[in-house]
Amino acid sequence: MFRIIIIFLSKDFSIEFNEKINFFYTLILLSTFSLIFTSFLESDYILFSYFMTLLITNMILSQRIARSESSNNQELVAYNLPIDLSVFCMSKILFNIFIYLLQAILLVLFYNLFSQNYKIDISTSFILFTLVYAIGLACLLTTFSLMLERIKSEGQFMFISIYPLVLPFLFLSFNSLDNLFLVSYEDLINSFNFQVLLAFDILMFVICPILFSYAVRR
Amino acid sequence: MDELFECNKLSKSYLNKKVFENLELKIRKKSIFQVCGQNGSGKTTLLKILSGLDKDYSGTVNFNNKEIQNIENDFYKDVLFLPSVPSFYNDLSLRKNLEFFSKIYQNNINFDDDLMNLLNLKKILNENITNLSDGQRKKGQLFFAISISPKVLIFDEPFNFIDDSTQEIIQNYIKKINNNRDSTIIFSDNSIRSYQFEINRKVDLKNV
Repeated sequence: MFRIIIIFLSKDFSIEFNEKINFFYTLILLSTFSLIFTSFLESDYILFSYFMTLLITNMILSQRIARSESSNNQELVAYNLPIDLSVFCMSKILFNIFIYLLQAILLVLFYNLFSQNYKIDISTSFILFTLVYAIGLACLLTTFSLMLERIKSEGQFMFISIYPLVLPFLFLSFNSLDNLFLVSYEDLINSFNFQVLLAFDILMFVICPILFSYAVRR
Repeated sequence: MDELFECNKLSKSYLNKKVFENLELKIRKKSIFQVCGQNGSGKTTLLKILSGLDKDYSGTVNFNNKEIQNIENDFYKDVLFLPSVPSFYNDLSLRKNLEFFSKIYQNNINFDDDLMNLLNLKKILNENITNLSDGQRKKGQLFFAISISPKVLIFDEPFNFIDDSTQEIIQNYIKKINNNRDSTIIFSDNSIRSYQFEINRKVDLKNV
């Protein structure tokens, strides 16, 4: 299992970092969205706005990363390989977690650059929450973008089926956001919303690869 | 018992459309088996079921007397399925693609192999897949399959996009790996052509 994950991760890194255009694309995407969002920013909503931007850019990038898994015959290359597809999905989730965290760092820089009056304070709570948020998003977006790549024309159905999983995640994240301003990181960890969000992450990390494998093979 | 695959009452349908029904099939070890039939008769579907890639069917499919649905992942290492349209990562070169696949199959590829020269692949090894023609991609795919020569090779229309002289080379290599390495070859082809190897059994899906 770990051998397959390492092979896929090294392939993903070589695709992502050999193509210089990918990095520039990410930079342009993040700077454009942070410019748009910071133009209408009010201090109370800076973190909400930041995580919303992260959600949108992650959705766009996960679709691009999933597209690189398709061959010229419009089929996932991994589908024809002698591997457990849940391991493949897990390796893509791990890769996307790395990419999302990289995006989160770049986005903080852009936000602090473009917003003149308000700055994002990089506290331990903020780092912890970003990590948990990135893991949850990576699980959901990776799995469903890969499924969309597989089924192509039936994409509308998949968008509907993602709602029951995405909505609770977004509500939990939104509720946890309030705690970021007010409490120390110990209080954040002990807060109910954050603990549920963490549990949701763990659940998604286990369920999403199995769901993907089952849906694609059957 | 030297049956490698055994299908009993195998049926497959997509939504309400039946592809084939109650198919009975036996494929012997070390044999060359051809699946033929018209477009849409279910050749690719049957090959995907035999490869363990499609598990949504009714009936039973046994591989070495074990039901394919319950088989371990090791099964996949012994069976190589090649789709009719080559499946490569578009963002990688041919060399990087082949290296990636060889790591997955835990098998080393010799890039100095004679076959590489015979198929004129050497000069395009570092080209990105998007810059290659369908025929060149197909040659790359066939080179990989022949290089690793697993126990079971399942080709879906292996000679599509390939010129006549290269077909002859590939067919000779298929014959060689069937004889020397005891590989079982299962392939589909809907063209009428002569082969360099002897086909042991054939199934025509329009007649089942």
